[in-house]
Amino acid sequence: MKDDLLLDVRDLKVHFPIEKGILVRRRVGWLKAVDGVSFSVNRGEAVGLVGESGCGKSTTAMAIAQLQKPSSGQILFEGKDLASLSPKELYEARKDFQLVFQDPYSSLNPRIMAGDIIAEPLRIYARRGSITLGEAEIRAKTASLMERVGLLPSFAQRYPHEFSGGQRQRIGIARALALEPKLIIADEPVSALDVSIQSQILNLMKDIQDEFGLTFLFIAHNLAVVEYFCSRIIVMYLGTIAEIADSSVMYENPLHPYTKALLSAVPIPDPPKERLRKRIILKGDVPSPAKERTGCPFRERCSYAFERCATSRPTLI
Amino acid sequence: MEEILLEVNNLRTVFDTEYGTVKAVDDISFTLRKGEVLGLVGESGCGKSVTNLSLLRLIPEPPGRISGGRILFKGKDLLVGDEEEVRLVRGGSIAMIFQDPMTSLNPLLKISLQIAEALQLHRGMGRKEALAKAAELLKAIGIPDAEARANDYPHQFSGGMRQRVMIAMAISCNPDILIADEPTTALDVTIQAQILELIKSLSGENTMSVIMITHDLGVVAGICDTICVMYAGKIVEKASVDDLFAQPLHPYTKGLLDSIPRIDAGSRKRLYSIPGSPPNLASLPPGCPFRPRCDKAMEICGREMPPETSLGDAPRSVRCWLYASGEGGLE
Amino acid sequence: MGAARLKKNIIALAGVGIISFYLLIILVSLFWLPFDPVAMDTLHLLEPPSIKTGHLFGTDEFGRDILSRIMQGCSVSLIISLGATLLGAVIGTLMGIWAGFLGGKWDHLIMRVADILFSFPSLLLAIFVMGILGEKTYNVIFAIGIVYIPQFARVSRGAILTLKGNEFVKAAFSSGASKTYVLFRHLVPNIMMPLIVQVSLSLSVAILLESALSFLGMGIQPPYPSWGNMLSGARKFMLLAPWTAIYPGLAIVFLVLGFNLLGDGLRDLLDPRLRNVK
Repeated sequence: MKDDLLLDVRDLKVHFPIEKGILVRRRVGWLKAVDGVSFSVNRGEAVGLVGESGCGKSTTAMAIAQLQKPSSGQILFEGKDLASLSPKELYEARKDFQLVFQDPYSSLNPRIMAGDIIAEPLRIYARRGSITLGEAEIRAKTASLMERVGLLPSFAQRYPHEFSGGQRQRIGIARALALEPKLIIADEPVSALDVSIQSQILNLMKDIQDEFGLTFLFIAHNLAVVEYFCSRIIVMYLGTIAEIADSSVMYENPLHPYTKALLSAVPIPDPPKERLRKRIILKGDVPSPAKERTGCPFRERCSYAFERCATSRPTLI
Repeated sequence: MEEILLEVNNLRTVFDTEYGTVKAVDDISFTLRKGEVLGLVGESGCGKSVTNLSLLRLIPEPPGRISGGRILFKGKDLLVGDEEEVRLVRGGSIAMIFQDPMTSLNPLLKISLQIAEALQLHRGMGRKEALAKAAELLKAIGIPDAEARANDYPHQFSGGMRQRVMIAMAISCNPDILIADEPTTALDVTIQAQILELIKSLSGENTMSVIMITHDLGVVAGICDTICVMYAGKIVEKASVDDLFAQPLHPYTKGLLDSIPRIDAGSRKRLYSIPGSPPNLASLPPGCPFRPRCDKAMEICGREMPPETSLGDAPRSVRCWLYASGEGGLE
Repeated sequence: MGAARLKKNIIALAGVGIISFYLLIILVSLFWLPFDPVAMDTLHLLEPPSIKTGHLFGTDEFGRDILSRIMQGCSVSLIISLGATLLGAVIGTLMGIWAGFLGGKWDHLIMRVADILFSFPSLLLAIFVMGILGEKTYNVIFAIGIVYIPQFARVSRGAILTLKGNEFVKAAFSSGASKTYVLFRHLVPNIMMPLIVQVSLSLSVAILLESALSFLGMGIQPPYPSWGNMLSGARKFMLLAPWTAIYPGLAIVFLVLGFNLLGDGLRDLLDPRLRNVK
């Protein structure tokens, strides 16, 4: 089963040009949002992508979802390189990977009713003949999807503003499920929600994963959430991967100094434990990804840094 | 036990809206002692931020209005004095920091000037003296290379550094109380750790009291002494931090604690989740506002709001019929 | 919330009412006018309003009936206002959507052109266009329409850019939607609100611009009446015979008010967020 590879990302790079000038725009540098990321996701697995703002986790997700053009590298989905597909082939492939977004407000078009939002992917593919569903079947499917994510099918006639944040996120999840994808890329799906709603959504996604045998790529900044949801965690820092670990061993035995610092910074809701914890307080801020750099990206803030860290970038072991 | 610095009694703040009068803060009372770090915890719309604004009479009026209660600061009621007196307390004896450090700083003024301005205003310092003190403060709150960076503009600072500057401005007048409204919500977790460490050390050194407003129970666990849990404009549970986490009483507190994933949870047990969503303050159900989501709801909960019941040592109290005398009671 | 919604409805209805009244006047003026609006009557120069003479709004310096002239001017003003706004809105919005949606060098090119047009004061630009095209009624429509193009381009481009950043656009692309589909299903319906505001504003400003052009002698040429050239003619006699200025002035004020009320009301009515919350 271990070889059952669904997604294989190889040396992915996404560099944005930095341009200056009023009339004629010249490129003055590159912002290396994602700089050589490789990892793989097996079928049925939930893999977490964590890191702080600007580490490139969302850009990585958008590149995998083909919403952001990579500068180089390969994204193999079921063995096919997504970049090499024709528009028609890509359109067919898209059915198999769907997105869940962070902001339950901006992710739903305010002028479209909930039922139509969920049915939209089905209608798009039905119109082009890639799936054969009539309007009645689409409606029935929408209703059953709504029911599955915990919404009353009668809510289909309501506009997004009539729902609470948690309910909107459920609509977003139902939309992602509509095409029966194999992979769901969830970009910070619970970070905009209230604490009491977060666990509802996490549990819902867990149930759905089990029920449909889905694979999840889960992007978040909250390590505790990722540890709960995922079986494997990828820690990113400044466009590169710092560490990949099984979530069961990560907390007990983090290897990378950045992972250690990140874990020690996560507050634990347990006062006596919290008082006894040794916290690794990192010096300074994350450097700008626009700066040219050599060696290990973490070296300026690392308390273990030695000479070699400055000259050569460590490879993933 | 240290002296009581701030005492809030039966504070009520309402907003008049199109949909009727909304009770954003409904009959809340708490005390803050010298050197104490008090946490006001709750979800969005629970009234924690309105409480904080009410303390300094910063409620926009209309539509808002403080409709009752007393706020005693060192024995003096802040709600009866005139505007000018409150203004002197604000920024002087009680200082505030907000969630978004970007919008709290003037983008067109150098950092050092902004801090110096506060010093000139509240402590009557001369310009030169104030600028020197500003550089000193920046150093004290851990801005590397403080002398040089004092002449930077806000956009040249990162989010974490800006929050440090806000803290420097807040503590520049040696306030008795620092009110921090979600000070780390906009920051990354490693930066959050830095800022929390800073606030903790400041309250320890200067015996400054802190009111920490947050939605994150993890944050309060590490920094607070006492915690008030708010729900729908009311304080539903009050306890020392150890008591609250070791033995939460109110079903809402229990539910919240069980529903947050913990990084140190070895086994991956399914999270509890509180059903439903936080209520709309404009159309609260009769009785206890938590009743529709509560798995222990009884018949009386739908009729009457439970009174505040004190249990055990001083800060511990809860507003739930399970613990009110005569009904249910502690098992 | 019912009351609030009703209030919005009343505003829109008041706007509709005012504009319908003007349309009625146009309809009537096609078949019947109290007097010939261009016929001079040297016996009744600058007569004050009076029921007895039949000149309800008085007469002007050539003895022409002001009511009849206002009634005939009504269709001129409305046609110019609607035509110019339509022209500006269609071309400007298309440019703005194009620039905002495609971005890159198209955006750069289109918006620089708009900037150049925008840098002229609107009246000056209109006068300039009139100077080139010549003083004809339909040229007034072109002149004002050209003034509007950059305004609509900016509004629609700004709206498209803001919308493009929304996650529902990404969601649509990842659901297999094509660019055209996203544009027409998700973007265009959502820019209607700022556009309607701009349209209602433009309709009223067009009336004022037409008046200004006619006032300066570059718009509708006498003896044919427009509210602008009526005001222009009244300039010299305003103190002596205030009715020559007051009635055309009021006609402008109420039509502008009608357009603004309608725009306000429409914007609120079209927003699903303001529809009754269950």
